[in-house]
Amino acid sequence: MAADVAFEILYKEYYVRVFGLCRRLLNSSTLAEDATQETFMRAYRRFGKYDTDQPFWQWIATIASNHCIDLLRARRRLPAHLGDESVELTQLASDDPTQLHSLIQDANTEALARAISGLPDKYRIPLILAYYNESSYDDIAASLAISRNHVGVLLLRARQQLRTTLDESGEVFEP
Amino acid sequence: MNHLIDLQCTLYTDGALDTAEASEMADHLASCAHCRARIQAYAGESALIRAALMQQEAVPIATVPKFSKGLDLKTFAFANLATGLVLWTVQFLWKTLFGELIVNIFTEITSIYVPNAYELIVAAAMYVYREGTTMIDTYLGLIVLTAVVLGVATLALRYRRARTMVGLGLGVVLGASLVAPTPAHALDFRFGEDLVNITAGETIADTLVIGGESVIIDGNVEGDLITGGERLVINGSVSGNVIALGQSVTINGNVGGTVIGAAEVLELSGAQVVGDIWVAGETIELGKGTRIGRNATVAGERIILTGHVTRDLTVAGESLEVSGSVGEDIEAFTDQLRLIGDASVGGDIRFRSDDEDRLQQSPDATVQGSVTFSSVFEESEPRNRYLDPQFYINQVLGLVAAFVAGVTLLWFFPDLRYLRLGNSGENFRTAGLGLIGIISLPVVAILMGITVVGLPLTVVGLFFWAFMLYFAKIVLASYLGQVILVSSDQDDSLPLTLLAGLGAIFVAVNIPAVGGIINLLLTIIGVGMILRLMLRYVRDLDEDQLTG
Repeated sequence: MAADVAFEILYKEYYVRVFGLCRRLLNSSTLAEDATQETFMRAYRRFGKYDTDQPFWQWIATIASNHCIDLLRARRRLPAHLGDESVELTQLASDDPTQLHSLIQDANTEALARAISGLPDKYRIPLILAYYNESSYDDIAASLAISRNHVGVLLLRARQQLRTTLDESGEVFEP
Repeated sequence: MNHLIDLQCTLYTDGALDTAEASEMADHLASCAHCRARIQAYAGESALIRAALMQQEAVPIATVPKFSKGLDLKTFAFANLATGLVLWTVQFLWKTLFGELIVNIFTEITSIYVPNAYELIVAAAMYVYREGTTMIDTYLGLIVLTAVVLGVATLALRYRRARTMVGLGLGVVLGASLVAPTPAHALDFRFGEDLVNITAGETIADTLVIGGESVIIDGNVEGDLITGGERLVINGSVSGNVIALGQSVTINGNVGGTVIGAAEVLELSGAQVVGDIWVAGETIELGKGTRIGRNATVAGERIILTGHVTRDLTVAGESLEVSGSVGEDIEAFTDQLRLIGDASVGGDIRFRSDDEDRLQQSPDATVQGSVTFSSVFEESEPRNRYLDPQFYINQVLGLVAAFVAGVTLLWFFPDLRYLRLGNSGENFRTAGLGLIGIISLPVVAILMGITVVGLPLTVVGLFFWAFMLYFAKIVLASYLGQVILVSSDQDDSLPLTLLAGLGAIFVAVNIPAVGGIINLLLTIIGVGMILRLMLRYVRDLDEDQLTG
């Protein structure tokens, strides 16, 4: 059938990106492989409902990230409740604005990538959804069942941890 | 306006604010160089994070799955029909050809040599007594150890990142098992080669396990009594239950609980039993002065009752002679029933015999109720189970149990939810794997049991097998439910999909005539799915793709 052929083309086109998203979310290639297959299977089954006005990437990325979040929750790597927003907020070290350092230079993207995969799931997932998936704060909030501000707080905490990690490994570049 | 806080900065940089908030902040930024610098720093960070995330990595070459077939119910049904047909043919051939053949050969062999069951039981019991408790202890330890190791292995597979926790858990379990008292401490063991005797003055405060060629108990046992040997005599009293296996068992004393016994000759003489008795043997005599406080259930060739049974007497065997009394009914599945002397029956007699001549009643014997005759086969004719309300109650209870068990299992092992059946070819492979698993696992487990070391593995293996058989249809139900609910957008919900799938399966396996084969088929496929997942785990381990 023509639709099946079309889907096969989409599969080949988007496999790498979906796999990349799953691998970053799950932090495991094995799990990501299965999750990618499952994502495409689900997408195939729901293909009839795909609204062509929406970019395909956004549609399939939502399926993939929801599936990965479900998997992490089921494996209890990701808590059902992502902590208290106000508590997280107080844990934020108030950065001296003048000392706010840019993380690293381009030469150190590998170190930064390593640091990202070392983040705890609850910080890594919103980070990936925001900057890899390019999801809006509202979409992330819906996926994780938290508020928009809570997403912002988690992202701030993620950045803070990245700075600390890179600081400790001595790869930080201070402007 | 004060300087922006971190949260405002990140919301602004990432464009997460609504228009009103954003324009308010833009106003502030226009006049505040300090905040502008921070926003720039944030934007720079975001760009770096994006760059780091966009780094390409080696992606395993993905084979394009066949999207065209294998996901709809129709294909699933067709593939199953085909698999079912093959299975049914095999089953039919097996029954008609091999079944008959094997049964005939077996009958032939057993007609030449029939081992004496009691001799076998006694020999086995004596072997266990002599070779002993140490063997059982060792086995128990090994079984527990194997179970713990398997459990820890499962946990390690699941929580790959929490191996420290697993190690800690293992330590706690092992420590606890060393510290905790074993149940054996509550038991008193006595074993001997020839005569083992509890003398008249002696009192055993705990449960007594006792064995020997001859066992004579003249003293008192305050717990239960478990005993085996060639000749067992209980003259003293037992406060709890009695379990007795032997060639000859004689009980003359009092028993506070139930008596369960099997022997070639089993005799109760003047015994006072407070509870029920469940006994089997060639000759069973409930002699004079014996009083059974509740019901007596007896199977044997020749059964003689001269004592008293307070409630019902149920008997299966060749002949029953009653010269004593029965408080309530007698139910006899025997060739002969004789009421001798002044035998008395407080209730009815139901005699499962066509021939009224086989009931002999002396003139002095009394039966308060009625005497009915009915053919043995009359009630064993198949009834229409669909007319029995109990059938539906059982089905609903079964469904609820499967649902609860399923939710628990799938919650613990989410991977089981994402198992898939592919096209018909893959379906066949899964069924084949399942069939091999169902047949080979118990065979391998039992073969392992032949060697002494393998016995714990046998137990664990058979447990696992039973576990798999039960959960096979549940795992399949979860998948089926997802297929059924795909068009309703509810195919992510664990309880809903499981319930939908279980409902469909429970209806399918109860379809008259074909329900049995459907049941077998679904079980086979379910087992196949579980085994496939396990094989995948093994493969993953081999490739050492553990993330730690």
